[in-house]
Amino acid sequence: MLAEKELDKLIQRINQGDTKALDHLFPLVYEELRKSAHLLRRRFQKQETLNTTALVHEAYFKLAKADLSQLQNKEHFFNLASKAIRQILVNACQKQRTQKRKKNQPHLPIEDLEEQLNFSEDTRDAILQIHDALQVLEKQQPHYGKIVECRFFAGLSIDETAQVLGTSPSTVKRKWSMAKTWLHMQLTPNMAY
Amino acid sequence: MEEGFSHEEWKAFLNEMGVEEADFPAPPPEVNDYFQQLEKKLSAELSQCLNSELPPAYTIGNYTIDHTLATGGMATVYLASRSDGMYDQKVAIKVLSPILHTDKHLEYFQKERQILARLNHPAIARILDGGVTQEGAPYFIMEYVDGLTLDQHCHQHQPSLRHIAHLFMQIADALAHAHAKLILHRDLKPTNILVKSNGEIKLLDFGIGHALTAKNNTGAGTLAYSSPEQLHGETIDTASDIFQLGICLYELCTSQKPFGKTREQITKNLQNPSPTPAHEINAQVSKSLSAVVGKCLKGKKENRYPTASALKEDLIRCINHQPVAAPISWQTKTALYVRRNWMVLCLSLVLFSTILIAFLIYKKQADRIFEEHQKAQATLTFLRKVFDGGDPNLPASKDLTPADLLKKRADDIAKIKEPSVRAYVSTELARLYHKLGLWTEASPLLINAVSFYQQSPSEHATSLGRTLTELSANYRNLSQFDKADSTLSHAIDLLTKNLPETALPLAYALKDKSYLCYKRAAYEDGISSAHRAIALLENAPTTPSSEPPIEIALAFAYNNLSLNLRELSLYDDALKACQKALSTGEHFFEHDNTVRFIPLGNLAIIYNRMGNYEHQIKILHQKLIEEKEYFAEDNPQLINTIANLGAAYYKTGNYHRSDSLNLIAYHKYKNLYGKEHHHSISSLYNLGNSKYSQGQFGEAIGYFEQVLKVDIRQFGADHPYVAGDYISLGLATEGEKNYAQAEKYYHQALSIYQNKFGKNHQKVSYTHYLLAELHGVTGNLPSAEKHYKTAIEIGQNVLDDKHPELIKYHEGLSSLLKKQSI
Repeated sequence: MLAEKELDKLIQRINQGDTKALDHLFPLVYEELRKSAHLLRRRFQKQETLNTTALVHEAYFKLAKADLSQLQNKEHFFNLASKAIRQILVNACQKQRTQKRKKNQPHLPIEDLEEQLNFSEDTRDAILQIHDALQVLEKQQPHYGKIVECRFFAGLSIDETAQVLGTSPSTVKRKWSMAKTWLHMQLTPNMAY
Repeated sequence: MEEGFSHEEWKAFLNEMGVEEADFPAPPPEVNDYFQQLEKKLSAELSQCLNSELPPAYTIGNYTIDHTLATGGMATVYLASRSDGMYDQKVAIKVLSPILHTDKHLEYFQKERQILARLNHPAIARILDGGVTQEGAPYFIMEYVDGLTLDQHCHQHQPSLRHIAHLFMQIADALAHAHAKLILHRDLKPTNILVKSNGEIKLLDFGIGHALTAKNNTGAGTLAYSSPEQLHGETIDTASDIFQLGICLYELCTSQKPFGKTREQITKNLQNPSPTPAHEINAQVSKSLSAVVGKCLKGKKENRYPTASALKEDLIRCINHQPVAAPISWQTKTALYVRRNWMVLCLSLVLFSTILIAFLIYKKQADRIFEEHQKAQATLTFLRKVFDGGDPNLPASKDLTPADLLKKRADDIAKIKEPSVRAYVSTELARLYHKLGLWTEASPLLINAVSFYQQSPSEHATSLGRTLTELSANYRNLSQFDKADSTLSHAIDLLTKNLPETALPLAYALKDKSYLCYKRAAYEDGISSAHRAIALLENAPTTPSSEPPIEIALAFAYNNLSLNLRELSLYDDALKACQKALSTGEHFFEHDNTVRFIPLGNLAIIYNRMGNYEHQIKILHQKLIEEKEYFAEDNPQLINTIANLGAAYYKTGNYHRSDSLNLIAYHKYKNLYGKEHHHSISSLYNLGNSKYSQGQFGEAIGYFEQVLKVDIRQFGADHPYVAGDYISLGLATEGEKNYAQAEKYYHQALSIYQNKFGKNHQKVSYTHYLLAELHGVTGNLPSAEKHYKTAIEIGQNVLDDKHPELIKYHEGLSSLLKKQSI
């Protein structure tokens, strides 16, 4: 974990516009998000379904109050959080695939979001395939990676995504369409090249 | 383009990906569908993963889960049913959330369970059992409460403020119970208070959450109900619970949070709490209720209610319009005192003007409107003066009584020039006096009004009839029965002559007549008057909104009928009439609580006469409990119940209880009415009876002689009360072995009873029995046998076969016959 001084410095750099410094904050956001399982439960128990948008906003709510409160830009945080959610979902799916977990282990304090997640085989495969395809896509065109992270993994709106990327909503809309189309092609064998 | 990108853009995209040649992809609607479906599925699975609720049909111990009732911060509460077929039972099972099985949470969960186990109060959900689920989640089983949370209840039912005060009275009582066991609630808020459909309260979530809601962890929901001590992390004690209750009460009275909604507002306002008084936000909140809320919400603990019981007491006083302990102005206190004693809510200014306006609308004749308007104006001005109490000539002292206040106003009446207005206002003032029990003061005012109306009796028939009826009631209350009777007869004659317009006032007069007849032991007359009153009232058109409901008068008419029947030993009919009185008045209790209490008292006496003392005691206890909620300690009715309960205990042989209750009653009556009043005398009589039963005959004779003297003076030498006194004296002198004197007393009683009731009456048979017993003791066995046989003969006519008195007579006779055969 980051030392307090280091964190202050990082946030200062980010606030001054150094977006690269954001990457250094990623582990912090990821860890915090992972640890927020119980908070999520409590906060969204009355909501019928809990989507990833809720995850991101909850994480923001929690982090903004604490360590990251000095971050001037909410978008900076969304940027990190959407990446973290992707990581969490993917990790959860991979773990699930490799280890047959026991159902219901309620004696253990499951505060870890990754441990708590348990997807169906279809969903698991879809997430992992999208993640794999996205790795190919972002290698060539990195900002597509961010768009998919924001729109699909974090469930942010077109406008929110545009703000995170510092671009226009129409650009996001167009690029998100192309990314979806391309990703979909990778998932569906008969349409692939 | 639907997909939002062009052929060129797509080509460029593929280029970047290292794909050279490609067709423009056919618009794939399934792309959007695919992502939408995936997102939906992901959300659903995500929710399920983070949902730790137990599924329906899951079993815990002997119970099967029906569904989730509530999910709290720490635990989920399920509704469950007993599944072992032993019996039907619904319970609530609280299970600690599996993701919270840390030592800290386990500890708090166990603590809550222990706390609940220590509490035993009707307004706190009971704990039935506890354990660990198959998955190791600790749980406990609680009594299931089918109700709404306090805020839901208020939202759905829009209860009156009086009802809200009632609810909080129960909450305060439950809290007092918990505090007495050194348990704090710490988290009082509307969602933690359930209201059952029958209006009962249950407090939930005791004693948890304090450490869990550490300062930076406090969600806005709980913060809104925090006390300053909680906010500042200081030591919490009972005063904190009272503060929280104050916040809830404030919110329900005003539909606002006292200290704002946001964290900033609340934090700032709790520094030095001084919320806008509740009555300034909602004008319907009385100043006294507002003061009670204010006292709960004091910043300094020592300025709040010292205990939850003290809060409860003040809420009761609010409900009963008595002065509260919370600081309010002396004017308000005086007004409250006046209101409480009037017991008639319509005497508030607002209602009064409504009545008068309604009155004005009724009277369509133009010339009368002017006159009525003048009356209305004069009455309003006058009443305003009473209520304001702000007369500079009055001493602004706390000792000012409502009587002082009214006396001062009597002078104002003399100044009214127009005689009809003067008569009207005099009658109104007399009514106030009457309600305050100031009968002596009321009479001259009524006589003044009567003399005005009598100048043209046919024109003023209704007013004159009513005023005469009221005057008669005054005399009756002063035990001046002859005067009361002649006045009332006059009223009835007049009202009968002017039928049908006078039907309603005639019914009221006849109702009063039946009561007066009962008092004067003219029971047959009483019965016929009651029947006439009932017939008129049952056929009366609906009550004008300005008048008290007809049902109340009808209930009293039935009760008066029952009183007279009772005195004639017609117990079955008396019981029926009494029950009719109770059911007729059932829905008008809030309007006039005597409509329940008086018939209830009668019912107790009927049971007494039937020899069913256990039933009598049960009813009197119930009556006493209800009355204590409504009346001050020196209320005559409350004293009456105490006295009657004393008499009932006497009948069951519990003399210790009987004596102490009677002594309390006697002293209270003596202070209230003087020692010659018939109520004081009744207590004295009961004391005499008790002393007699304890073999203290000399003391008993002393009491009975006092009673006899006053009864002869008040009721006349031939009244059955006097006969009763002779019987008592006879018994006591017999106890002292002065048999000759005792026999004289019995014969005096017998002749009065026979005169009044004829030969076939319970009292006649009883007196014969007493004479038989006396002769048995003195050895005059033939005479004894004769009296026994007469007693049995009459008794068989008027009493049930199993009546204890009749059994006693038979036993007396058979033991006498045995003695003779030896």
